[in-house]
Amino acid sequence: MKLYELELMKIRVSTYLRAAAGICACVLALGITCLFLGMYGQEKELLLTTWSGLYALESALTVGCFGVFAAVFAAKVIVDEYCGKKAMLLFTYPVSRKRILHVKSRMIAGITMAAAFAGNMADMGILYLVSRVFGISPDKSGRYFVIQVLLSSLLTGVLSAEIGTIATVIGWKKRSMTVTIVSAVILVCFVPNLIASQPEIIGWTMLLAALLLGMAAGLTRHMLTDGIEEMEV
Amino acid sequence: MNTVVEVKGVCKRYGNNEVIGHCDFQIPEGEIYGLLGINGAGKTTLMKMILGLQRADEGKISVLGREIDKNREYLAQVGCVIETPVFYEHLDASGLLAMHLAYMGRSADISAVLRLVGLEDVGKKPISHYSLGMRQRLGLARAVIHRPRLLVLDEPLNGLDPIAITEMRELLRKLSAEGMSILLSSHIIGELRYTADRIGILSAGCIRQEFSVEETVAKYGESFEEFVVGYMRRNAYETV
Repeated sequence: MKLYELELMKIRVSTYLRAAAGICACVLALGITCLFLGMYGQEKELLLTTWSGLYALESALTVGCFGVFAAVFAAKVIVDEYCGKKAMLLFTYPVSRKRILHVKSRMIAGITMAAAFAGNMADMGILYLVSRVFGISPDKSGRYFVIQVLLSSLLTGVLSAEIGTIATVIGWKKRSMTVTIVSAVILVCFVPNLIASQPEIIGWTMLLAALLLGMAAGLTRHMLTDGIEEMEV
Repeated sequence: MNTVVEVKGVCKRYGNNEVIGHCDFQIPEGEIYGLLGINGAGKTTLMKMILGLQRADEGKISVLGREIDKNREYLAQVGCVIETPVFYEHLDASGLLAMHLAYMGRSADISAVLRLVGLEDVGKKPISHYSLGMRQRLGLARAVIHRPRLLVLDEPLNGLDPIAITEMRELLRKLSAEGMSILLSSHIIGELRYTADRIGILSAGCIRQEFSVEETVAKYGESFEEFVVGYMRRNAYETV
């Protein structure tokens, strides 16, 4: 626990929390626009006229934004520290390199997952309230809607953290914060599109994506741990 | 007297370039050992190897009686300032030192250490607003706050004004008198003359000559610096 507190001391958590709140607000604004567009616009896209479509859209946007958020966070906390002069400071502490790295990774993944989960849940909740207030409910939400939203929000958090992890390893290999963020943006071009492409089976799509990315993230993280253990500065 | 650092037959290569070649020296407890060499002689590399930041390709390094390997516990008894000290810029000096102590698993009177290095008046000012000299002082405070048995300092007087240099010398002498061993590198002879007990001239990757400062000054008097420069000139550009 002490190591987590020490890692939190090194960053301005409030900056990241404000960024997370900003992401949620933007995704919500887009969701509300889509809600009205679906009801009153000319387009009758499945994504805009059904709850499953709307939450697929919201989840895809959340994964995209929080994937990049995790990469920016990791670029600062991991890539910048291990590729810059701070590595020398970190390596002169009598604490195993592996342990410090794991604490950093878990802290980034934890904050990203919590923010993405809470943001997605809040966005869907507000979207539902708006639809009730204006009486523009796209369709019947179904009995399992809340459970679906809960699970997809959870997977949203997991996917965002996984994108962040893979991008971190690529950035660390190239010794560049920019590469970390660009890698996340490239991953974000594929994953959210996959999620939004099949709104009817969004849960399965997200689960499959989470499993595949999870394996990739696990493997790359192993490479990062070994690399940092052997690193000379 | 116990040996705090023992470097035996150490070699370090970067590709085909051998930067440290069969280097040997020892630092006994409570001694200030000055490592003198021209730029690129290998001073920083040698210090980094002692701190476990770089691995030796050959030879053995023991710190506080234990050979260094992947075991990092000895680092709790080592303090260091290597190159320009780096900090978490948004923190203040007290916050930074508290964080360092937590990593080292120690406790200490932070305000007393800040007083010791002349930073008692900085208050809650973030480190990003510090001058170069203040950063050097804070780097030294971080290196000594956990009362290490070995202090490794790579050109610690860079950026300090003449008064601060004198104060720093006095501080190092005081710490050494309390039993702390200090490895101090520099390429300025005057700096080591007034601080170190013994000087080792590092040239082309190995210690070419070691001498006691007191004895050499007694022998050469005001020509001390000429003697050292002459020796360095003769050996500086030899290859390993």
